[in-house]
Amino acid sequence: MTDSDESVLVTRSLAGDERAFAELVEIHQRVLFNLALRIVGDHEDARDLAQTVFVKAYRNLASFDRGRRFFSWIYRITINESLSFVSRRRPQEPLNEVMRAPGRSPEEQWEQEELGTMVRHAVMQLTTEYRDVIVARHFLNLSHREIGDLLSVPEKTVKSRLHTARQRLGGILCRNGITSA
Amino acid sequence: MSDRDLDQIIDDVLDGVAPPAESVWLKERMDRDPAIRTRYGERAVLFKALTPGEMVAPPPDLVSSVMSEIRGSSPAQHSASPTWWSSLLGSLTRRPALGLGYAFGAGAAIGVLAMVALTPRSGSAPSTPLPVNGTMVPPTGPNWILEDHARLAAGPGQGEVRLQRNGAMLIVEIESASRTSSRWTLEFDPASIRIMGIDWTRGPDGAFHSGSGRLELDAGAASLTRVRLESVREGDAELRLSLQVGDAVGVGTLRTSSHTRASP
Repeated sequence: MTDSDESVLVTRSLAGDERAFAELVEIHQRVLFNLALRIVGDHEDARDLAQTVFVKAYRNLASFDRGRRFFSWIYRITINESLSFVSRRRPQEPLNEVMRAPGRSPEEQWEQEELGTMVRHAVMQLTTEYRDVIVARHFLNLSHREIGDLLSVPEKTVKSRLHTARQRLGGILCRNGITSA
Repeated sequence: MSDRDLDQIIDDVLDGVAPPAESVWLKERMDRDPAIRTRYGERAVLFKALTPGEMVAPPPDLVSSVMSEIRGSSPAQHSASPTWWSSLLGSLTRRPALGLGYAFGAGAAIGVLAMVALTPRSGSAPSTPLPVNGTMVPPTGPNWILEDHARLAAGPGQGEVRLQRNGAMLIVEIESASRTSSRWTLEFDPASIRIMGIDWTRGPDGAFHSGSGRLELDAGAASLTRVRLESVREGDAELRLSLQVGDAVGVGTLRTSSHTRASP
């Protein structure tokens, strides 16, 4: 699927063709669901968030800047919605299904869940420009080039931001006793 | 070689983007220097902590759930919230048989709605939206220009405000660094600028109150709020800002440059 194909789907959606929008949902649901899951840590919440994101995108499609990639736009909406959700959620709610894996002992499971929570909290403490690259690279496994396309910045900038972001993240995790200095 | 350069190479190797020669070089250095090996190990812990595992399949009913929620509505219908007049017309046209029966009620409703329309709006999104709400278009990309920014402080509260422009579209980003909620006020000439929407980008949804040439926002601690504005005429414009935390008040000003509207 090229950007121009997506642009056609957006145009058709704007004209009221619901099948076209369903195609856009089909294309992006996996990445956006996983993005929400990585941030909120719970399948049900991630599902609700992904649904909210697609509905919001549809309802605001007329305001979408056609000069940009649709994925960049909806990716940003997903990040915003997920972060907003995390900040609203009660801090005592331990939701870390993303880290669960079969075959682990309860202790290992608990450690992984704790680690997941701490890493997510540390990522949330980064400023937007650094958080974006960490989420895109490590949570979504996007390449440097894909991140550059997503954020409209050169690959070199992505690399530099990733490095600084990891330095800062390392500092935060170190202060929280997760990694050594 | 500086520590930063070395860390960059370690990052590249762990990230899988280092050229083969750099990987070999690092391996040789680690074999010779235990300090570098330790440094590599520490960084590897960070990478491991950041790896949440394989992507999972989305719920099988996600597409159908989305489509059932939007079925029968066109995105164009949502480009702006309905006005009181279009809502009223819509409700009457959807029930033509009841049109006469509703005539009296409609007359009364017009009176009430007209009062509502003439009264400044307030609420917390999305229950009482501004004309366009929740677009969440980030002001990034080559078309966006940072026009002005200001730092405000008021007692224990502080924050930064950035004004970005893309043609006639303006986005004011208010990044509150306060530990408590704070009130931000934007004042402007309503003949030059109009409010298009609010996006509670980070932090809980706040409350707002908008009147002619004025917008008050109650933003949460450490929040990011985007206010979308539109220049309605060419020429410079000014946005007066204030931040209030308790009794303390800080003020600032942002200026937009002249621009040419693409369309009337």
